[in-house]
Amino acid sequence: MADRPRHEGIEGRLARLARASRPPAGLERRLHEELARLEREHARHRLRRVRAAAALGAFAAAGLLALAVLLPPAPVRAAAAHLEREQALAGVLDRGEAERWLARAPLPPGTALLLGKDCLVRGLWVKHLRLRLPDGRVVEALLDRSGRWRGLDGRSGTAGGLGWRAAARGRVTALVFGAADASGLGPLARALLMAAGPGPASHHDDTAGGGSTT
Amino acid sequence: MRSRRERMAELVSAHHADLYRHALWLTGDPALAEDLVQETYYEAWRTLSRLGGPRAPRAWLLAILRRRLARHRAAPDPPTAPPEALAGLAGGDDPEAAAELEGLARAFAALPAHQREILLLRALHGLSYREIARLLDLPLGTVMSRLSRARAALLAADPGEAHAAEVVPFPRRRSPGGGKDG
Repeated sequence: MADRPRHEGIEGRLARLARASRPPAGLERRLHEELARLEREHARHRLRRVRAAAALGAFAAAGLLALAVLLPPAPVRAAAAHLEREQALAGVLDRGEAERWLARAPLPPGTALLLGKDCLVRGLWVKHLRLRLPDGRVVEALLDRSGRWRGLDGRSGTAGGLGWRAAARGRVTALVFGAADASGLGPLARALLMAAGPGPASHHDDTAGGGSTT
Repeated sequence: MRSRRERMAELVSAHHADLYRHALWLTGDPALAEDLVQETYYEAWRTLSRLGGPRAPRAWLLAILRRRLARHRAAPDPPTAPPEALAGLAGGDDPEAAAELEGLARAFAALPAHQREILLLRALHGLSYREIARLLDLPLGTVMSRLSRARAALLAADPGEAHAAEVVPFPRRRSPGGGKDG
């Protein structure tokens, strides 16, 4: 004990004794390496999260873009707005339904949808559209997806006698009439058939008429 | 502003040795002590950014080490510090000094765990009574009395200390709440 300072107390000796214990060789290096590894993993994880967020953002942007592309064209939106404005005339309006099918209307270029609503024509719910063709003429269209046009009478301005009797249940039948010739209405009728949506809403119109054409 | 990596590197360089000694002298198991130090730094790395940087890094690291050790002690086969293990740590070139230190190590190893811990915090890390009280979540008076009992027990058990007349088991000449001086 000759090397022990006289003033050293029990704690000092204990500290000296404890400090004599050396950490294993390489412990510090291993700790540094482990921390570096943790930092690298953390950075990689953060990068993955950033990438995932970026992918999500891109997906959302693509969705918005697609939504913009799929939004109804301006004439259709105008028609929907028109439809809403005509509530007093249309009675109870199924807005969501109308918007849904109107939104899918692939109208021919230059064709404007002036009016779209559900009408009750002689007991049948049909879509009633009013369109302005590229040459400025206005035509009325009645679309029915029930296949029951066969019961209608042509003299009342509906489908009777115009070949629509072949329509079957489950097929969409269109009656387009108004000041338009048959050659111009073919593509329009096809477009309208594609656009026809489900569900009647409200407009009672037992006098839908005017010389009918297909 | 330093990065987390730089701050952690500083913490490792500055404190890893004493943390290892602390764990070693409480468990008597070098492998476990090394594991505890690694776990401590891992926990520190995880929480450093949340804390915004500890003001007293040593006490903060010791607190983490205590929690890790408590987890090990709660294990079905908790670590212990057999006197032989600590006595083997004494070593040294001078046989007389080595024998004396071995006696001290044995005396230390025979102490209850809470006394060993409080002695290490005071002797090895130089923490003040107040810092120890904060770390152990104990009243200041309890820290002082436990330290006093630990010193007395160590003195009683250590033959090498029998003629160390200058040892003061409890520094009554100082203010009890005396900050760094304890």
